[in-house]
Amino acid sequence: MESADLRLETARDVVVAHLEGELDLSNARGVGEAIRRDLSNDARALVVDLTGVTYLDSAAIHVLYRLHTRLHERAQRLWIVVAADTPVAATLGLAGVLTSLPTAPSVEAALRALGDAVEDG
Amino acid sequence: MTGAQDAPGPGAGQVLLHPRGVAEVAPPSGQLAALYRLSDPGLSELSLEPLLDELLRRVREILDVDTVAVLLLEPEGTHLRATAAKGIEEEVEQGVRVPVGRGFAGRIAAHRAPVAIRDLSRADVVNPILRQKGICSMLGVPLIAEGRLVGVLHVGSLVPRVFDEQAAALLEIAAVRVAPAIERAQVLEALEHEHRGAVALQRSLLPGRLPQLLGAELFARYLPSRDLVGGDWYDVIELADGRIGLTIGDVAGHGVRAATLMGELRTGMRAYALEHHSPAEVLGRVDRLLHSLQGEGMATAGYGVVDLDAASMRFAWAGHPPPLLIAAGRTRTLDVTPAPPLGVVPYARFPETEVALGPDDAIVLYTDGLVERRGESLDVGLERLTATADELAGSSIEDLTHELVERLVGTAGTADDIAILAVRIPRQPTRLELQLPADPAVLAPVRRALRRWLAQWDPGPDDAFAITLATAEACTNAVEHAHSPGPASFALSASHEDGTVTVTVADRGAWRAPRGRHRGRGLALMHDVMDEVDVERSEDGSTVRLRRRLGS
Repeated sequence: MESADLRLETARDVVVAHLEGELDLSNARGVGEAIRRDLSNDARALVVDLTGVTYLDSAAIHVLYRLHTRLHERAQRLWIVVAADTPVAATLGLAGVLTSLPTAPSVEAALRALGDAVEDG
Repeated sequence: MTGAQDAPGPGAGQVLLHPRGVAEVAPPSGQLAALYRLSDPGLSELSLEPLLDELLRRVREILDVDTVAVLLLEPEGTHLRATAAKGIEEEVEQGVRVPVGRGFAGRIAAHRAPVAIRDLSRADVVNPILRQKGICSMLGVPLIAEGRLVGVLHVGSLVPRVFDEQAAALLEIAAVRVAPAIERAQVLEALEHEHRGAVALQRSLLPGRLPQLLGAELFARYLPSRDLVGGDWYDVIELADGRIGLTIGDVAGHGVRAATLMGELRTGMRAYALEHHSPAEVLGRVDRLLHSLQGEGMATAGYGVVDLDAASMRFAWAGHPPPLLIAAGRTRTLDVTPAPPLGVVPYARFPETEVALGPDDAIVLYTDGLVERRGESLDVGLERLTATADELAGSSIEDLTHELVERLVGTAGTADDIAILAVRIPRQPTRLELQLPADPAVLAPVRRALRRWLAQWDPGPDDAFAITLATAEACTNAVEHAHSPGPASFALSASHEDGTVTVTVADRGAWRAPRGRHRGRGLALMHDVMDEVDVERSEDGSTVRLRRRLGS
């Protein structure tokens, strides 16, 4: 199995999942389950930080979409952080993630957007 | 013959014979000579089984008896166990055990004196086999070596016979001559058993099987010492990002302690390596680990990280013989910045060195048993190793390893144990052909192997990304679809012609239509990034053919 490191961090009521390494069929589902296991019902949103991910495949994209569906059912929001012009951004673009899920170029930008959303709401 | 019925004398019908000096009753000279030969130096070098066999054969012939048997005292000293027999082989086959002090043999052992039975039907015997065989008369003597009881030797006759003092004296001569040899053989056998146990322990502490790695050929051997248990080890650790950790080491000293310390150090190095520490850091940590372990211990060791993408090895060495590099047919030992062995100097530092590896270059790690000879400096051994490896340039990694051992150590066994580990990074083939297990764990190594193969065609970053992604998706499909009894596999081939790369991935699984909203995504990605995608599905499996023109 390819090793991908997962580090969870909570900023107020937002959980940030920092991922590093390569995500594929061998580990994507496990990573998705680990994130969901540690995501409390109190959390308002989840930010999945793919900045440190160097490769992801359709299995990982499948997990991202499933996370989105599960969170949506619990009225929680999902943001994806991905740096522009990287192979990972290219794959996400091809799979429609960039146009169908909220994305930000950095964790700070995602948190800011989420904060604005609270103020707006 | 003297009847001695006083307690604690022998049981009914048994006659306790007074032990006598051999000289008191002189047997015929020819028989005596044959019995004296039981202490031949040649005989005393036999291991236990052939020694007893020879003893029984001679005794049976000289005393002209029908049965002869040896029961040896068990280590606990409470029972005798039938160990060898002629004429009453059942005794051994059935594993007859007689308590010391009871029955015929037990009384001989307890009294350390010969016992004769004239009529077995009237005697008190423990072992029913003696009666079942129809033995009428018996004579037995103790086997005593340097005052210690070793066992009992007895003979029997199927016809009534009076075993007189002369017969007893003859049997005693045989017993006296052979008892020390039996004891020696027993001790050696126990040591041999212990040695085998320790060698088995040593082997169990070494890797069972080396990992199968794409892009690297590996081969290792461990040769135990002829007489001693050693503490040599090797290990191969699959690290992330296409890197391979190689360890080699040698715990000072011999025996089970050296072997167990070896196990601890190998595990320690593996654990630190898996945390992705640098070679210097891995050796530094395992050095502190060794200092922290109770008792004194010292080991020489080396740790190298082979980077398949960068085609290089970065290594640090702790007082260990230098690695060998066979590059472009020329062999040399690598320059190692000197550092102390592990467990010697507190807070020792282990400088790192890096070496570039060309196509088909090989690295050999080994322990000193391969090069060291008594009374010779290590430099001479290293020169011999280098010269021998030079002669073997071009052979496979497996042949190289076997031949180095064969030519440097021979087949007669080795005084010191030897560990040898060789790795080669083969030249990239023009056409890549891989047979792969249908296991998700194979996907990351396949992506790296494909990228390294692609590099020779000088692709742009977009080409490399597209071809890797599409191939990986095809492989993911193959892994998911492969169903077959037993371990399933799939085939990957990649070729380049006129600026176009063609990749074929074929599995033997039944094609399953994409399920759910997202399941067709892999195929969609392939279409997005490749010029051509053909999928052939049949009963026997599916084949995906991908094409992309480089620079398009």
